[in-house]
Amino acid sequence: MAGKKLRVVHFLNQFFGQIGSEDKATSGFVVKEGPVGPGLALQKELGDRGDIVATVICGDDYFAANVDKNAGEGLRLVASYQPDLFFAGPAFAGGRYGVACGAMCKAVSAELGIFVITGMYEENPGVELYRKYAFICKAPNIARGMPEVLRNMVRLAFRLLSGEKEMRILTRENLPKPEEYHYFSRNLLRNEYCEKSIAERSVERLVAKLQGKPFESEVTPPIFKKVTPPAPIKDLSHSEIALISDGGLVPKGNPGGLASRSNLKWGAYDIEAVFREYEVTHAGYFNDHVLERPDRLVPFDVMRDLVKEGKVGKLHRTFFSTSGNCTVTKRCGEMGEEIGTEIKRRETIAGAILTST
Amino acid sequence: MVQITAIPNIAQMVGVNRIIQGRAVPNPVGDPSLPKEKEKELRRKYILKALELLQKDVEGPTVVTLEET
Amino acid sequence: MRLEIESIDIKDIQAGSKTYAKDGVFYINLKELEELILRDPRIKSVDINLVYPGDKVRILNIMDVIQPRCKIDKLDADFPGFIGKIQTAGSGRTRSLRGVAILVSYPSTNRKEVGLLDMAGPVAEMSPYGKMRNVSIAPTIAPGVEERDFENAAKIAGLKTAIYLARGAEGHPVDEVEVYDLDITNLDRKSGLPRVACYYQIYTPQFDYLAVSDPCFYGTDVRHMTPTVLHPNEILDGGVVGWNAVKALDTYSIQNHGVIKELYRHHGKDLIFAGVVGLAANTEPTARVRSACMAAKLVKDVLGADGVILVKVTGGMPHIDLAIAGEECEKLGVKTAIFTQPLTPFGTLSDTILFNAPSLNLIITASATFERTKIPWKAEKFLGGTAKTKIFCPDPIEQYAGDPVIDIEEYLLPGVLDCTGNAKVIIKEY
Repeated sequence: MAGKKLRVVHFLNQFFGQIGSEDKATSGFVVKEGPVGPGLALQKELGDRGDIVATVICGDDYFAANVDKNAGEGLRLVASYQPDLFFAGPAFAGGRYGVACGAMCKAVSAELGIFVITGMYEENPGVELYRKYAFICKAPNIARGMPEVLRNMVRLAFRLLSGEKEMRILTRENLPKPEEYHYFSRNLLRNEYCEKSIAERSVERLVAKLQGKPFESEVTPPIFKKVTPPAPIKDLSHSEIALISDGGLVPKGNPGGLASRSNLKWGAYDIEAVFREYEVTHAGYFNDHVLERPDRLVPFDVMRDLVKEGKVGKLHRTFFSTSGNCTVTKRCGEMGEEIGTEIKRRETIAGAILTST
Repeated sequence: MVQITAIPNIAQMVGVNRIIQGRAVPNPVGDPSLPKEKEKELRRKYILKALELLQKDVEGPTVVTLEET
Repeated sequence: MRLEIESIDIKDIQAGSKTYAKDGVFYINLKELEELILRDPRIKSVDINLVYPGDKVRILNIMDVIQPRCKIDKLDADFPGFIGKIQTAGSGRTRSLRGVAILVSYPSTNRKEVGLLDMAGPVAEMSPYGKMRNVSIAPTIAPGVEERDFENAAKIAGLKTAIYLARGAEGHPVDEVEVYDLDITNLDRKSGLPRVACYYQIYTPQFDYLAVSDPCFYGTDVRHMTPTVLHPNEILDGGVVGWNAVKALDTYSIQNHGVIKELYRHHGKDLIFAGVVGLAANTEPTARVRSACMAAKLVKDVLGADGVILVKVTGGMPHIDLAIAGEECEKLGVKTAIFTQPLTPFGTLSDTILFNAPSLNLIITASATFERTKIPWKAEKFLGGTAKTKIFCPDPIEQYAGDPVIDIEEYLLPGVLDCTGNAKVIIKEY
């Protein structure tokens, strides 16, 4: 890319895009050639390295009316300019604007594979929703911070484009440190080299704790939300029960492509078919006991008996399966919701047994 | 929903309300050290316990072991 | 118990007609070493190679890494229970060679998750063994020998090599003597310094290959061991070895146990090292809770500790054993520092922790063991395997040792992350 000027597209809302104020928040997409409003300062920061070839503008309310659809519309407009780099906002504390910037970044990054950078105040709802999908630089809650935020956005962009490896992390990826480049961490965890070994840190901190001195924990555990217990099942002998498991039991060939660690998928399989030909994809426990007799994980044999005896009304013919080894808590929560939604959708199921390894 | 797990602590922590303490991590409702018929009897006990808990009211995360009546 | 480790710094290793060390160079009679290894009828043949930093060599199917050590003042006392006669390890004089590691491979293993080391490129830069001069031994299995039995044979071959090399350096001037002297029964009670114990998870049976636990404690497995008091020297001096597979843990790390050595360093200064409680993690919940209570009781009532460091072994499940034991310790008034090893690269540190008891308020990130990293480096030579050796990836993809880039989890790279706390690694949010 040396010598070639970067084609840059900038996204703004109606206010910064100089269409109008709150009164114009419902206005739709407008594209102007070249930089607009804060884009002029952004262009100055880019200097000779890049040209803002177009500014895509959209009203806050218009965008918020249907975020996904509008991100798609905005993406098409952005893509038509074949950009090498994309900036949005910064949105500061504007909630609708922050969400729009985040959604635009997410869509552009996914589709065009280019770096996407925006700026928001830490309480902007766009931060939690989109920090994983874009580089969101930290901004104050007033627009007077504009020059500094733009400077940081461009500095971060150049750093990313340089392809420089971050040698302080073991993976040596092109992943600049959030503190150094003033952006919100993107929900990634990395092993980072440290002056002190794990042993040194633990002994040192424990001594401080024993001496009654202040000490710092490297992790602060969360408090989990309470879930209201669902009402109990009334008449088991007329109820349909479904079986779920996170032990990684799948049909032979693993058609769903579940991973044996850090798996993010679940599958719904005909239980009789699974028990005829199966495999286990879960590297967190010794699989042979289950491979020898999968009922040790998914109690098909006993459930069949209980149905035959009339103790249970029916066993649902679909078995819901995932592999819960070293994987993302949030995604597991999502998978649980997805499975739950599917179970409810089927309407006949009264309860479920989840067996876990 | 009732969960059968040999690590009930995690289930409790995240807020699962009905939890049966399973046999062991590699075989939550099995026991390879037992002969086939005895193992199936054991598995039946776990499932009956689980179904029993599904029919009970609970106020919050509740762990039940096989031994409890 | 008093242990003196006499260390000799080896600057180079070479094949020679005699095994001896002079001026920091170690000469090895490879034929003699081979004959020593082949005395075990379970081993058909053995491939022995000397490898150096910078070599374009990839060593595969590594099951363990061992530091050359032998007892100086006792006979038949090396790695007791594994090689030497069973006796308590950890007293007397031990010779140790620094700058040399023994890499033990099992080339035809059926295990999927095995260790890998490159002598140049990113892996060599990450691992301390990539900067040492190493002896790679790759035994082949004799016909009719069962897999698990051969794993034991390979492990023994590695330990024998460790002893043979250390003995071979006899007479060479010693560069450093480290003294590990701890009289647990008569520990100082007058200084008012807090007593700190180490709760040490030696093993977890959840990964047991073919349902057999790896012998790692005085020649036997610890799957059913109840928590017990250990003298730290037993761990430093060959009573405990690595498993039959590298999983962020190997014998070399245990011989240089990070937390134990660090507690010794602070002993008498701002704490009194009160001893070690060793145990295995449990797959059954009742055993887990019982073990936690017993361990906490040993820490509090037998070792009289005011504080404890809970050292974790690789795996998800061991977090829970650790956390329950930690809570029991805190309930008894023993202050804890507890390890955690986030299992996924997504989320925040809060998202990935598996316990949240308020009493466990000092948590140390002891590396993300399963972090995946890409190694864009091609070897010219392969030991312990070939260019076609499959490299494990949890995603259902196919990759081989000869590929220009491999995607591997860091716990399979020996020495990069180790559960004894030596790694200078912290987990940060990015």
